[in-house]
Amino acid sequence: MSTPTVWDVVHHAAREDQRVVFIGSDLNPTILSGMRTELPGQFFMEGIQEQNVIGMAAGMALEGARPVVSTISTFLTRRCFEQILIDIALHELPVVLLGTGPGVAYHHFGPTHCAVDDLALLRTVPGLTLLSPKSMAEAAALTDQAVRAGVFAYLRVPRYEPAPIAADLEPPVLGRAVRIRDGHDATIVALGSLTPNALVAAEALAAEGLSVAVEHVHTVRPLDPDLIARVSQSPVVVTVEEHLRDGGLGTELLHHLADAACGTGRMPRFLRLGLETRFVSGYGTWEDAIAEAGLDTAGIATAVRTVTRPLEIPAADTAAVAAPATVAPATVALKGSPR
Amino acid sequence: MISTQAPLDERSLALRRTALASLVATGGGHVGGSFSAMEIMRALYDTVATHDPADPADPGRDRVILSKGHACLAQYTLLADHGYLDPAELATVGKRGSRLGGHPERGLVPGVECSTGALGHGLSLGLGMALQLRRRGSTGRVFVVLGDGELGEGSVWEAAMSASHHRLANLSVLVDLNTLQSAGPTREILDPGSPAARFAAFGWNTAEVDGHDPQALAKTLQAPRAEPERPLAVICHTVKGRGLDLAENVPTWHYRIGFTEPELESLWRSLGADQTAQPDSPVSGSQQEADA
Repeated sequence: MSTPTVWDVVHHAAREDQRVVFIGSDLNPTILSGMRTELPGQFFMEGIQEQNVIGMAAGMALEGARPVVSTISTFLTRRCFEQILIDIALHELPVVLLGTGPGVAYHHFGPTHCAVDDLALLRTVPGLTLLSPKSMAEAAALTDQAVRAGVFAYLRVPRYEPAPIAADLEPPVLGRAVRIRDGHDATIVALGSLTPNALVAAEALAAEGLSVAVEHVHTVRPLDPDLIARVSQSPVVVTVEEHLRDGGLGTELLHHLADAACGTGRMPRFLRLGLETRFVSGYGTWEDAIAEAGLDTAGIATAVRTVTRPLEIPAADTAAVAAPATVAPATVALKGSPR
Repeated sequence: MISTQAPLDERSLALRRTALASLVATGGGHVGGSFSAMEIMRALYDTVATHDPADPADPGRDRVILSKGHACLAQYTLLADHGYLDPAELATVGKRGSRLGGHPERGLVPGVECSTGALGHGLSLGLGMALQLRRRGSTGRVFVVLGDGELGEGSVWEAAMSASHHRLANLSVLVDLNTLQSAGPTREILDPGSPAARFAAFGWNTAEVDGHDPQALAKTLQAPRAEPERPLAVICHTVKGRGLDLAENVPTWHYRIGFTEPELESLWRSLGADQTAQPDSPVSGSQQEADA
């Protein structure tokens, strides 16, 4: 039997629970075609009207439905932001949003279709669980947990299947990060799609004598408190995500660590890797966009190598203490400069 | 042209006195839209909608959504009159510790079905509720009150298209066509043309009525429809600030903070009371309509 997809999960959940309905916005007719035939009363393929689709889902949920809504990530998050915030969040409703083509999966379609800001936008929505799994199998498991528990969630549906990693062996648990490699010199905290790149980079660095841990994160909000506790012990933390450097996993973790540091006075050297806040330029493959942003294996390894260099702080020169934080980003930013 | 000039009956005046007392106690609010929508809310709560103040969550109830949430004073006034709220709470709108906000919130205010305030949301919420009620085999109906300025929101027309497509006969819209929005006359700001023609073009049943005549409103909402499987849009011709001589059709009375003594004298006099009078209890709604 093939690995279940998020669509299989929705179909199965709808079969078991009449409250579960699927609402798509002008999706490919092959998506959930079986559910459309078998459960027509629970299948709604709506037009190109994201604001109405979200309001409609919220209205159905107010009357007891458990809607799962899907369309392309950029349209699902940008155009109907207020509906997500007011209609769903303010009413505290169990709606699951499945964004397709997240991150730079649609690099070839250009900036209108690159959802590199979805997490930043949605981080401000109260009560929303933010999910960015690395594989379809992980996405399916998390969707199943969210739908069954009636969680208000946004999930990035992966478009590509990465090579399997050891962490695939353990079923994912909503809200839990997974430590997939131990290390004491630095910790890479990788989000979903970039965990495989982070793991390969850590293995390459090990050959150079750097001991680098890797944490795999699929739940950006609420961020696993155990993850925060673990990485706060690391001398260096590098976050890696298929998203803007600002506003995603790196920002989320940074805020938590800064809050914790108020009590402990201890803050790891912290580097956020991701895309710069500008439109993704040019066209090409997912790999092209990832390499351009310095998020490929080589880019991640270079960044970690740079940020783990010993600090050169002259004694009693307090002004220099603030400087190291800017060293690494300035170096790696060259990777993402405009062409 | 629909006349909106028939005199207000005693119940409408009494409801307005209750609302004015709230405005005076709280220092101001959205006067114009609340007073234009008073008979729309009255017709719904007094006559048309099935509801039970003793059981606001009754699954078989009809749902009333005030999409133009800034007119919540009209809704609060009717909810208090029907026993959902203690009338004394009307003196606390927008104040610390109150459950009555400047826009209505579900979960805080019994009888409020949806939290509104950002315009252009109520019709999509209403159509989703109507869809799910139909799925559940419920006879419950959904009534959504929109402002005419709100018709500028594109989401209203997304929902209008969708409701017609889904043949939601259990969904009705009431447009409070008071012809003014915050910035001025809607015709000058963003001309809604003929809302009836526009809803008809989207596949809706439509009707036009004097929005200050509760009997006509009820009759229109209860009349057989030309297309029984389609939703209904009732265009309610109203006067913004209706009943208050100083406020009627005056854009600056969309929202007011504070009233001068001469203004207060005029406002109370418009409603057949002097300034020193305590707000009276409106005549019982359902009884009044039954007698009519």
